[in-house]
Amino acid sequence: MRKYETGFILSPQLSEEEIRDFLSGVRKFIEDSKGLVIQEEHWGRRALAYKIGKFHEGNYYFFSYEGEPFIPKELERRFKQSEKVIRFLTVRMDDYLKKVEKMKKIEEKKKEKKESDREKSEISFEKLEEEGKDE
Amino acid sequence: MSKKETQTQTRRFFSPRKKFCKFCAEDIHYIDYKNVPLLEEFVLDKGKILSRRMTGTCAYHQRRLASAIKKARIMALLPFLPE
Repeated sequence: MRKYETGFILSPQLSEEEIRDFLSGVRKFIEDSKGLVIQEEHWGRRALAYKIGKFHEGNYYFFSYEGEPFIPKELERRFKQSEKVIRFLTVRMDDYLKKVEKMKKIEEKKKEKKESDREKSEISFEKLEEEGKDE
Repeated sequence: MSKKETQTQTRRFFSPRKKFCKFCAEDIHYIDYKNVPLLEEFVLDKGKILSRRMTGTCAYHQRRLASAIKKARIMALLPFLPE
């Protein structure tokens, strides 16, 4: 299982119904292929930073989900075929998050060396790591 | 090392405030390409990515920042060129 985040821009010419259908289609596809939708971000209509084709505006949507690698592959294939999607981008999140965790751990060790008692309650796995060390 | 730095600084123009890496200071580990207001701080109106020398970002975060800006450009959140 891997974590992905796919963002796509839908054409501004679509009606609200068409957009809703498209989004539920995406959601259904992810869930049908044993994926899990973690988060959806709906930005709605937004000006593009530059013209894409003949459009100056677009509808932005972002899906974060967990699943097998064929899911983003198939999604992107569908996006390419569909004229409703102007632009899309898939980012793999787990690689990034792992590296981020690594960096955090290194920083924590540095901090622990300098100041032994300084805790930040916001990050939960900091506590976990400390517990592991106590044992 | 500090002596050398002060020597070169006195010769050239320098800003009175010391630069620091914003992401280290604010504890931002994952730079999200969707966070447009944050990325805009590191981009000129021309669309150029500001250098480390200008912003004081550390090497690790500059790499992440650059790739985030490039992703944002692909998604038309930031411009490639000025309009």
